[in-house]
Amino acid sequence: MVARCVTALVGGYGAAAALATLLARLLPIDRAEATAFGMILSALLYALIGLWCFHEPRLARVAGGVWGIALLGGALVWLLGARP
Amino acid sequence: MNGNLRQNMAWIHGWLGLIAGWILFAMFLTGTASYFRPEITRWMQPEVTSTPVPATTAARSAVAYLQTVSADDAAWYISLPDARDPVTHVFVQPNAKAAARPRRREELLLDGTTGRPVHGRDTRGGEHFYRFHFQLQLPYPWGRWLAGLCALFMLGAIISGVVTHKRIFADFFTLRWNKGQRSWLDAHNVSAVLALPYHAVITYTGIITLIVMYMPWPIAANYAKPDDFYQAAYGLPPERAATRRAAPLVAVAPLIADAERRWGAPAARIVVTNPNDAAATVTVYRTPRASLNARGPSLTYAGRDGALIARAGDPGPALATAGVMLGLHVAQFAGPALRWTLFGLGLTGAAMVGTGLLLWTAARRRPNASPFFGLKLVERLNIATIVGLPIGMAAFFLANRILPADMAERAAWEVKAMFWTWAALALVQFVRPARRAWPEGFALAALVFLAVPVADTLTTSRGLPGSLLAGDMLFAAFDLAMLAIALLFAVASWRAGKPPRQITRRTRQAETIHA
Repeated sequence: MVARCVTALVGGYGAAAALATLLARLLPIDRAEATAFGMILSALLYALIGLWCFHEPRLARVAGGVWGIALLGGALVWLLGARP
Repeated sequence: MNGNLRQNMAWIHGWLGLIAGWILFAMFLTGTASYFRPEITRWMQPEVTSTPVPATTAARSAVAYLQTVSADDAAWYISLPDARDPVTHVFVQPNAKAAARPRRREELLLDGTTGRPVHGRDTRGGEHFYRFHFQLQLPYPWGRWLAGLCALFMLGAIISGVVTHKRIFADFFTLRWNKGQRSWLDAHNVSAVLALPYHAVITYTGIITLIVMYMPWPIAANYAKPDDFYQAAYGLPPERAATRRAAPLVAVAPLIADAERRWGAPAARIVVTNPNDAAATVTVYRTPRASLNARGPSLTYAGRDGALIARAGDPGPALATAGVMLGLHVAQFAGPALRWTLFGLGLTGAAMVGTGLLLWTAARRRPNASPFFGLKLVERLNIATIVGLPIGMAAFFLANRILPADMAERAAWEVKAMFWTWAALALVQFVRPARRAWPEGFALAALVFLAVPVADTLTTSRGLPGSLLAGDMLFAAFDLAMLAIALLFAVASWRAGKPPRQITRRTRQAETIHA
């Protein structure tokens, strides 16, 4: 249960942040607009990811999915670097 | 987790609501009060009376006054008076030289007509509830993070609560009184479902108001310097360094008139940077009441000759959405009727959280069994929050009327009055059994709220019924609202004091148990 809660709270934030940032970084529109879209959607992503953490019965799948998205997405953001 | 979607969501809904519930109740209540932030401040400074004047007049008189007292400041932030707040508010940012001097009062209140300072009693006013609503009286940034986390729990609770529901339409019309747990569930459903669009919008937009702090990573991915994003997103006026060459500031009133003509809407705020310098700028901001978007456009003029040098505020769809979300949350666009409606909806939010908390205990109480420790704890915390906080808020108002007007640290003492009262009630309730603490607490709340208009009448010349007869609608409405709240608590006390009816048939259904 503790693992699930930590995954939902911390991992969920990481995954939502990674997805929102990727969206903001990759959307081929004005960068201020893309940034705003990413931020607006991030809260919804975080809430849905967090709820899914308590819905999915297999803990391994929860942890793998959430931390996987967070780490992979974070790595991708880091590789892409700031928009030139 | 091991059940179907609906059971899992019911489980998580119960826990999310419990963990964040008490803070959310406080956020709902103080946030709802903040719909009347300037009005509360005006009520808490009864000495300050000012007749509304046009923005141009107020700007002219404020600038004339500032020229005499601090002509060499780095910037003047001037909030112009309007129908809700007829006083000019000024923040001055001293220049680097003067910053070392003893700090002046943070905010100046100026009379719109004369530009002279007006002096009211020292108070935080409506600003206190507004700040508490998202900072929770904790040091920066922890209060904001905690408020954000609770708002996120609320969002999760709304989503899971909707999924949990089988009969969302029927719940509109269902309220069964005096059926124990069933009634609390109905009350929770009615308050939640009736105003569901409001709850969803206010929660999501609440998170968006501070999203730049909660989720700064999209900015970091797109901008080497975050300031460039704020520049692009919020249309900040271009920064111009002072030249150190003196040049008298042009008259600001014609600039405001020009801006208002271009918008066809009043100006709310002007910012003068480097006044009386050759690089001075005057930025005029449109009133947020003119549109749903709280971030209205602005026009920047050169302070030396009044030429229009920059215009901002034509955002794209995403930034406009963010601005409208902010606008929907702070509701500055709302006129009196809509404002009172939103106030009522905010109270349904507090009712939803409050009934949800009560439901948590009702669903776990077993007849003929002594309650377990967690149940007792939750029940006591429920009393401390649902009874204690409103009484604390009333104590804040009472302290405003009772403390001497010239007392040192007066504003801080008003705030202390609220929190000490709240803390004292949270402890004192333990001398009474929980079943008695509810009606007695509500009765005390009714008395304290009744005392607020009484204290107003005894200590000021603007109390009831004189304010009603004199057409002083702000004071009359405030005091009448206090009386209405007192009545509400009296009814609550009467209902909570009635002995619970024996439930002969177990009416509990599978969907009612958030376990």
